[in-house]
Amino acid sequence: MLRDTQIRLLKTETLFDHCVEQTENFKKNKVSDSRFCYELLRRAAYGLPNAWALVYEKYSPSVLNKIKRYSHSYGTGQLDEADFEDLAQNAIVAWHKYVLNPECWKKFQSLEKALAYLDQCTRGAVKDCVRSQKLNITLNQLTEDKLAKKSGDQDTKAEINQYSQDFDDQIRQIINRHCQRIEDKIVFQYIFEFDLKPKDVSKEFPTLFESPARVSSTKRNLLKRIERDPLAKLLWHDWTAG
Amino acid sequence: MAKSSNESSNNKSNFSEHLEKRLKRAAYRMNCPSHQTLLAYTWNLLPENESKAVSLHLDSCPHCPKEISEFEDYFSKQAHEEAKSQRIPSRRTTLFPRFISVVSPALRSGKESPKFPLLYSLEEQKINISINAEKQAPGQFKLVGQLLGELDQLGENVNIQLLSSNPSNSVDGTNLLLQPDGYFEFTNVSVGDYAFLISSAIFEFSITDLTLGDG
Repeated sequence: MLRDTQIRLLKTETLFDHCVEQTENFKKNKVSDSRFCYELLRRAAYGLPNAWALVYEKYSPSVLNKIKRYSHSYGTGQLDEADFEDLAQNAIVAWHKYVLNPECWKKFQSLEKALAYLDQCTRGAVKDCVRSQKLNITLNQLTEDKLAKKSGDQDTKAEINQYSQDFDDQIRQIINRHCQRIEDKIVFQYIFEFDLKPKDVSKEFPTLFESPARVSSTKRNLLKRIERDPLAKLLWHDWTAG
Repeated sequence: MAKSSNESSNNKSNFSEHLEKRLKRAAYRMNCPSHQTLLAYTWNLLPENESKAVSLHLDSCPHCPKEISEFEDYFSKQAHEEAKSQRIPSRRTTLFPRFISVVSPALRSGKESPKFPLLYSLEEQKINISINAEKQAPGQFKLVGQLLGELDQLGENVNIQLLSSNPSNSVDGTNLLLQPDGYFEFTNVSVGDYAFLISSAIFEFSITDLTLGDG
């Protein structure tokens, strides 16, 4: 068995080979030594040449497999191979950003911890995708006709992403314009953003809303004002026109 | 003209009907930090300004604290598993070798003819156990064992324990260190049910079905 100092002296490529071998042993329930993989990650964290490329080569296939598995369990709906690859990329990039740098690496004293974080990044990428799909459902309906004409087209995807950004900005503009009073801001945030019930809002802010009915009437008034907003009308036209 | 007025009125009614639903869909958690940000926040990996913004958001959001709490549960469970694996290192659980056959292995103790040579297998390791009657002490047995395979995979200082289901059974040297050639030997073992526990700093497995009888 190699000592820690001997492992530190191994070439990064040799370390990678050991890491792959030990991972295989682990998967087959054989005796395995996690120090090789941990040292490879440590080198990537400290930016040693080739280490990050080898870490990526080692872990990206398993991240991609997990993305597919989690997508199924978290209900992302139909995603194609390119979407899965994008999500895997998001997960591994977040891992690199928050774990594989000298400052943060100190918090990860074992391979298990670093890989548990990667697993959570993978789940996070899928959950973030599910969350953003709530908006994209609206946008997909909106551009349904366009999509039918050129589905899968990269330009269409870019167009939808841009549209998503614009849509978000427009919603914010409308909200900011009509939520001047604190009551309106709270109603928008708690009812629309957090999806709470009027009784929960009234319970949370009893001095502003003496009853759930008061929350409901504030919401009704806010919606009426938004209905009259020219930008909202324009968005409505887009929604219905497709 | 009347038709146009009707259409406009219908449109307006549809607009009111759908506006709330659409807004809810579009605005749902629009200001919540991403999971990646919440995860980094849990580990205190965010820059100070970002961390403050997340803290502020957590004060009012009913959803994000639940996610933080899920992360904390996950990592606390993971830390617990890790601590457990350090107490019983490497594979976290005790492995049970599979009994393969009764054979006649060439054991070191050439004088005694092995009465019940047993062969167990665990991945690439094999464990050979021979049970011999003690000539000097009737009703007592000598257990001679040998570990075959890549012994260096087991780590240093491999410890062999012979555990009896009956605490009153006496066994000489119930706790031995494996010899470099893979042999171990227990003498003056009484009739009864026994288990072997073979462990090192990185490995642990046991054989639990060893019965010594008069027959």
